[in-house]
Amino acid sequence: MPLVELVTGATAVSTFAGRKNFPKRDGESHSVQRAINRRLADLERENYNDSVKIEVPKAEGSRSSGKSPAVRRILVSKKTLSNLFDEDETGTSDFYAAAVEPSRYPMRRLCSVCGYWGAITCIRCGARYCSLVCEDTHRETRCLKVYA
Amino acid sequence: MPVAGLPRATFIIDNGAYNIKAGFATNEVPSVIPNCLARGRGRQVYIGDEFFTQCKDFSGVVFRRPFEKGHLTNWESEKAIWDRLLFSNEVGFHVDPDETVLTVTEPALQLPVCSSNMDQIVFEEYGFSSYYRCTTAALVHENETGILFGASGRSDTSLIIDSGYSATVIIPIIENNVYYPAVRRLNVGGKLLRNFLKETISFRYYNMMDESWIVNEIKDQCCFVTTSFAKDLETCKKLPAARNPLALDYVLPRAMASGIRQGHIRDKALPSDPDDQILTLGNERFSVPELLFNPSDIGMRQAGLPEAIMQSISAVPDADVRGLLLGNVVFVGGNTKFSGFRDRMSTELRALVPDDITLRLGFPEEPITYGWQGGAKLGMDRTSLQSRQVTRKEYLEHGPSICMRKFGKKTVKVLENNV
Repeated sequence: MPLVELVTGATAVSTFAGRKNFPKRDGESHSVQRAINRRLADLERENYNDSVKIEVPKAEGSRSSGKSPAVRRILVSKKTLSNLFDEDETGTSDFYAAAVEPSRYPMRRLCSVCGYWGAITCIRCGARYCSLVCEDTHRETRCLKVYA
Repeated sequence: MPVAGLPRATFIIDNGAYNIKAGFATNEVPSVIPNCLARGRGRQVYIGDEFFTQCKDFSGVVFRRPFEKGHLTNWESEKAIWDRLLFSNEVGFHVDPDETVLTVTEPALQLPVCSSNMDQIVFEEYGFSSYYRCTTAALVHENETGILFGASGRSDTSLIIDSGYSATVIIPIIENNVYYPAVRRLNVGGKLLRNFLKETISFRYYNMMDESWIVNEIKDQCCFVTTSFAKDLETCKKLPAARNPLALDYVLPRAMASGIRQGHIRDKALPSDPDDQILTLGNERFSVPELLFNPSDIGMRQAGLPEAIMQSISAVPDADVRGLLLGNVVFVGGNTKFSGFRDRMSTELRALVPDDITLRLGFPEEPITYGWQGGAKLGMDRTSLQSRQVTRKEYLEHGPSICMRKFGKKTVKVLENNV
């Protein structure tokens, strides 16, 4: 274990020597954090293909819609959540203020390929893997996505 | 006051982002209907329950939900779903809004404009005779929660954890009012778990990125919460699939002459059909629900649910109230149905709570309909509901602002003095 720490420590020093921006505390640079956030946004999607548009079918003999102008405005409104967040500052800040805080305990590191403990960090993109087999898989598939 | 003036029926809608649980207060159980529009391969769009009754092939289905990240933003689709729910012959409620009192739930931290839009739709579009809007937690709290703890009756203070599709929300209810300063939201919900499983399966086995529904079935049938993550992880790493007791073979659904055969776990005793497509699951079975306890496994900078519960508790200023809350914890929502969730939660929470506090955790038999059951119980209690609701007459007189006033945040008296 200490040997692994030494190697990653040395790599960190040599990679960032002379640069003004040092990586974040647990060794995750801003580009790595951006990749993580992008992935989390992907995981929040409803459908894989985002441009899918499902039209509401027009029912025959449906009850009359939009009895009042206020309701008509609500029914045709195409505002998305981000529009609504922009419009309401207090509501948005209340919503985000209630978010659960980060844990007091350190993060666990799991291999991004097989899910086992991930002791080794990829130098280029910061992902974790556990063994040489997983390193090969990682290099062939997911690596270099961050290294743009 | 003539009795003829009173509305004849009370209808309760627990409006979840995934499922709607709805029914009259007199019904034993609610109808559970998907709260979405679904489109199958054949371009046919299904509204709500039509997805189960009419859709024959669940592969490649895409969904459109009125909810976005836990806020009801799209009324065009929600109205279509509600119209079908309230008026269609197939669902069979035949609600007459003029003669009905409506109870609807909304998400706990919803933007006020979304809540106000619902108020306007309920009164101006549907014309219900009176209406009560609250969080699902408030309805859960109406149940006789004592039964969950092996006692009876109910307390006026409880901590409700609602782990649903959009997120997991921790809501302390003190003296029958939601205490908003201590409400906490953990962004891990059924949607995230399903998408994480989908991404993992697609990377390791077969590409199933278009198969949201099938992956959701796999999640429901195969995933569980482990009590010893490290041990199970070692088991899956060291043993090959054939000898690994945790590995599971899942037979993917496929088209047959007689129709579509649904996906299911392979029965090892039966001979295997060579035409079957088998998906062998290993550590995904428990590393997916593990996100509820360790969201940092995928890089999310939020604490797990047990720690989040303590964050919510520590935001309550009074020590006695904190003790009361921890003595009346209720877990609802689909994610609490994972096998092993109860044991894991008890162990982890017990470790975080001081020894002198009595911790009582309640797990209802039906976590998905428990909120609706509370609403039905409230619906049968005429006086209680009447004191909370807004009538159509009041709405027409004062406008939507009366709803915001009556359903909005209330101060909790016992905590006010402690400031």
